[in-house]
Amino acid sequence: MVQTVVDNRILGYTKNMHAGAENLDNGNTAARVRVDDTFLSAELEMEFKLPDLKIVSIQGRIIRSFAEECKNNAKILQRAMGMRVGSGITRLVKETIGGSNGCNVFADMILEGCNAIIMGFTVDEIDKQLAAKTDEGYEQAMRDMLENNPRVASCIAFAEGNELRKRLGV
Amino acid sequence: MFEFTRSKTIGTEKREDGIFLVHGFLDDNVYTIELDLEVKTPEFTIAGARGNMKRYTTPECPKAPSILNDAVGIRIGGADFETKIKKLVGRGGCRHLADLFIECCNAVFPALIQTQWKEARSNGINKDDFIKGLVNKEPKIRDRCITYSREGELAKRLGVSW
Repeated sequence: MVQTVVDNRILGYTKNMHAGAENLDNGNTAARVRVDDTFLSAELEMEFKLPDLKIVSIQGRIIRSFAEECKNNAKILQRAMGMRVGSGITRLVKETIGGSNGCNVFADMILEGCNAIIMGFTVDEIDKQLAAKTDEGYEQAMRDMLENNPRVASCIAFAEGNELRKRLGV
Repeated sequence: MFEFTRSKTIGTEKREDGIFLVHGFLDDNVYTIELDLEVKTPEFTIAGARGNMKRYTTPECPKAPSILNDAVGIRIGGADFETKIKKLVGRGGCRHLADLFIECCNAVFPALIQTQWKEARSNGINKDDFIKGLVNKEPKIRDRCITYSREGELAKRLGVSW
């Protein structure tokens, strides 16, 4: 028998966010973030100076918003100039860029861009690990990662005494 | 050339019983993660959570979504909500799954507003009047940001105060 009733609905609120990190010819690194949701559309570009990952340039705009006044919020971004990606950045951005005197959309976008920059530095290492051609090679890469990484208990993979650690003898 | 890219897509639907279904999808150079949440309103509590790690880096990663059962009953919002989720879902499971989880939870309030706006618009209410009503009845939106602050241009233009 053909089912005639489908338990689906039209989507209501939707959100798409994209963040990308790239290395620039001047030795700096940059992040671009774009958000499109039901109520708002915004874009952001940041440039970071290496090696301290300091924000040396930031610009963005709110292209579409439910309340027209949101489009005037881009100047808030200048408060992020000089911030460094590192410990405490989440709280700093939320308090300085977001909150009742700021813009939470831009705060989230800055943090998403910072995350992309950090992840960009880890991709090569993970790529080497996943590119191992043999089980032994993969396990050695995994062992190196667990031994050289101080992130004990930061997630299930780094949990003390998990199956992976036991199997690899880490 | 991009060294790293991450895309997150969130979609919400409202079931007839008032439960919001939130579908989240995260895709980047390293991870692909899916998450489905059920959120009860007006309580804003997690009624169900299921996740799937599709691309990951270690054999432990696919076990991470099992921690989601412990998130059932948690109330969305409040000053320590993100910290709580980062600890429970992130440290106990996967921080990228926690990131998607928080993103999905953050979609519930705008999803509720979207359903209210859709109804208001069909009743001929214009956007400014809807925002006025919203500010008057939703304490959550007051002073949430500079636009919705009591000193802001929006409050002045619409002649609302609190």
